[in-house]
Amino acid sequence: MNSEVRPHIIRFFFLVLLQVLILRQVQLGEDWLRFAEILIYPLIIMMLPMRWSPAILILVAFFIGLIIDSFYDTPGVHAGASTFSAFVRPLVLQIIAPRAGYDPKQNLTRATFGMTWLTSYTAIFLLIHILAVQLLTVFTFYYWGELLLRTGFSWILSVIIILLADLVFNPKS
Amino acid sequence: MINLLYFLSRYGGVLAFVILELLSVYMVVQYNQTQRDIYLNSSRFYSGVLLEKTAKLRHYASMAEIADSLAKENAALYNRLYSQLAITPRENEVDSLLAPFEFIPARVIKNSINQPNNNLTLNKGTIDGVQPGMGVVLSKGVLGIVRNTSSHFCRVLSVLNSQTFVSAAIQRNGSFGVIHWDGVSPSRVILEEIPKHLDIQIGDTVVTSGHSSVFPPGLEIGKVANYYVPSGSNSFRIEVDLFADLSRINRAYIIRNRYWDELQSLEITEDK
Repeated sequence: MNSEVRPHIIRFFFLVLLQVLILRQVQLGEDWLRFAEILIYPLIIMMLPMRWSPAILILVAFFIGLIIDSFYDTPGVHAGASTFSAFVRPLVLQIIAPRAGYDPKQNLTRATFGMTWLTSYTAIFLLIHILAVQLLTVFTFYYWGELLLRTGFSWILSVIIILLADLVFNPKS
Repeated sequence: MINLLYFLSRYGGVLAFVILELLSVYMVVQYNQTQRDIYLNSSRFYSGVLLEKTAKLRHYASMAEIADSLAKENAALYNRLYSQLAITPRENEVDSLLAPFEFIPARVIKNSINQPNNNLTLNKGTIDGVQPGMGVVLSKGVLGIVRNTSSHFCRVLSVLNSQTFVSAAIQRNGSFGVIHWDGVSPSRVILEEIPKHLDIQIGDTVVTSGHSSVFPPGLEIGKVANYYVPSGSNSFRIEVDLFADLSRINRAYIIRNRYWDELQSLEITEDK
């Protein structure tokens, strides 16, 4: 049990610190681009064990989002987006299921399912997550026009950063 | 009981999703409708302390730059002091001792400019005499208004926030209006409510008007970059370029009005 949860806890601390201490400072550009941001913490939710029941998964994701919110001063935005993306995670996994299907004991990593799988998983999951973040932000103040541009930009950059981080920190295979 | 367990195992995910999502949306709406800071607030202890630590590191890295800007600021202040001493008669010195505004220096430990509504955290709180409603300025420009205080920190509603309104005037002729942010660019704010018959020119300096107890009059804010009269309106819409680069600020001054309590109680009795 302990050794099973430990990597998730380490990943949690590392990625949350990376997100709130470094990536929060990154400003991508002027005007509409200012609201685009690089998100790396969704990787924690992506990799949570498959064996967990949906309710636990959603609860944990909600609290991860809440912690991010407390640093971003956006109460509810990241919590809501994380809750939503954790809710649809089983569906996303179904869409990109490998031919042999999943075994609940497997880890959701590149080592298990390969680079192509991880790329499509990251791409779909982040698209949903970032769209949810932007929608919740827009809901508060801003307008629809720039929403898709911002989503697209945040999405491409975040996917690249997450895949790079995975290559750097899990270099095996 | 068994039915309940069955129900939870079957629909627990949906249930958790609906409850937590509604909670999130509630927080989003709540935060924006009222100015009250709710649970998540970085002036709260844990994130406050962590942020202050990292801010210290960052400040250390940009120490040379800070020293430079402080030296410049000092020089400008000396200049002003000496030019005033040279011009003003002696009896006015008494006046300056009784000046109602006092500056509390503070460090910016958290800043944002890329949100639709921006806030800052400063390292001064109620212990240092900071109260909600006080103004915050930079050596050149207005930064915002204190919204919330804890004992060691305060949260500031940035001038780059849709909820901030600052009374401002054109320095050249004293015509005054209200500054707010339209959410477009962090280096530009909008000055409105100046009647369209008045004379405005591009390059005019915009200063605080002093029509409130929050900011002293005559603090420079920015320069008129562009202006026009929106159709159907009786007043100008003036775009003002800020003098200060809000993305690169380390230090700010919180303004305490010595007669704050007196003014407040006066206004309250009038309202009654």
